[in-house]
Amino acid sequence: MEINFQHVSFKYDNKQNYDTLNDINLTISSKDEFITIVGHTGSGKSTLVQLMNALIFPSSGNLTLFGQKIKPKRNKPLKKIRQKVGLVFQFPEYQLFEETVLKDIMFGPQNFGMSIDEAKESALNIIKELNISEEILERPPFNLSGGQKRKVAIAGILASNPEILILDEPTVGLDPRGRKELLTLLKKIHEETHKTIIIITHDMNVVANYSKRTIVLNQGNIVFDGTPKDLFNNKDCLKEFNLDLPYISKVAESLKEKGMINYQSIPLNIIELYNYINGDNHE
Amino acid sequence: MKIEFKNVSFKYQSDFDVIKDLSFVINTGEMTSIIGPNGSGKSTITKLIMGLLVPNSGSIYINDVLVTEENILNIRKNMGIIFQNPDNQFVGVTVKDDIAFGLENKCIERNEMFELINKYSTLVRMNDFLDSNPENLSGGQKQRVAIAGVLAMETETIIFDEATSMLDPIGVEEINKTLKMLKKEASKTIISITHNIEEILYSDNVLVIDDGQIVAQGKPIEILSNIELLNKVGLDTIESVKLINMLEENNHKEIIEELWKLTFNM
Repeated sequence: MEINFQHVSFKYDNKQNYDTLNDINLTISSKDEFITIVGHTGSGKSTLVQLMNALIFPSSGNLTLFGQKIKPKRNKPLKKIRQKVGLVFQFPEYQLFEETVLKDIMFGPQNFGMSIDEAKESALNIIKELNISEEILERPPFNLSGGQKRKVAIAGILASNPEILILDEPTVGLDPRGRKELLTLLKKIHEETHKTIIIITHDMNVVANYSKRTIVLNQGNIVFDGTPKDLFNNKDCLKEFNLDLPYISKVAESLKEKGMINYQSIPLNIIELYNYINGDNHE
Repeated sequence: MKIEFKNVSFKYQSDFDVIKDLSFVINTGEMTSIIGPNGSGKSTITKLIMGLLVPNSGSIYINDVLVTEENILNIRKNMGIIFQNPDNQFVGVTVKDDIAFGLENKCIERNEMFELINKYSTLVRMNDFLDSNPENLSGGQKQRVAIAGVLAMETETIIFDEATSMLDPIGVEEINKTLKMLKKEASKTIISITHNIEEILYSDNVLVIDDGQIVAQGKPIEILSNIELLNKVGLDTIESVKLINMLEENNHKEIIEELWKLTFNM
């Protein structure tokens, strides 16, 4: 397993007497995983993914990334790991800085050691893949719309060819079309390249309908690690950690309470609910 | 506050109009949602209403008076705005200071100031946090403090400019509840600019903007039912309405009725 946490704890500075992350045990493969991480503000989600990228180091426990042990203090050069685990921060468009869109996308790969020609080739491939119009390549990134800027920022990470792609709340602030485009794109990348994708999100619809595995954090602890289906059918867990159902599942619950439909496993999207209403569900 | 746009066009330095021959009326005491995709011109409309931008052609009337350079400052005193990013609108070291900031500029007497701060922090349920540092609040709490600050100025109109788009679901719900409450209790003219379709449910009137023009206007139920139009401009209706649209009307009368009820109460 390329990401391996064994009893990993993390605290931000020694004065604090509580851990930001507490006794984390977790393995993630770099192939074929599509993971969502959920939990309330302050539950440790961003800290967890920063550990995966070796931006911060564990306070205790064993963290191994792509075979390299990450120690609490001094570490061997980490550039390789950071290239393999691409991390897209929240509002990544705030970090665009180059004169042109193309230069901005080429910055990441060059930073990880590609020559200018290699970086350009890699950038142009990604641009095609992401459907970024060639017209804007020589323009400054700052004049683009919010959705376009976000795409350019993500392209910059993808151009470095990471094996695992982590995104911290990638759809916040995008309109419905931008949101759908981005999620469809991530799904496509996942299906075509089998790269592992990890998304931090508050959107339960993303959890239910895009991810295969979901991890719930609560006050620095992993309190659930399993399929979205199991999570949303686990009423006690949802209640205890104050997690919402996807909108359409809430609609389904109300209809069930009124005795209008019945089901064993809660519907997670419109098609499933439609089938229950029409009695077409063969469970 | 009655706000009227008559054939308003506007362009930035570029050659093309961002706002194209736009006409609409917002009536006093009504809540109006302006929805549209990213880049449709929604925020430009806010700036035109506030008089921060001046139309290239057409005119804007506030309470039936033409807005000019001379009267805009007085008109603007009657408008408050809540911005998108909760972190970009704090000046005070405590919540109390922050709400007081606008009042101090208005030279309001100390006792009256405390009364206003108490009244409006209680209304948005932030009165327990008056001595807290705004930095330690959640996004939804920060936006509620910003709302209290605007309410304390007792303006006729409040504009919410994508005030929920950077919040988590709990924050969005907090702000939506506050909006609902304001509509019921404060009898203000409220303008809410958003691309989240859920937020239009309790508006009196909805304007759908695309490419600087109004493409539809009506009551929430009319706009929500127009799935084709919403999709065309890159928005989406609520999932329960999509489901209603998929179901055979005759076979599922009871369920469809229940789904409409759920849509407006959830």
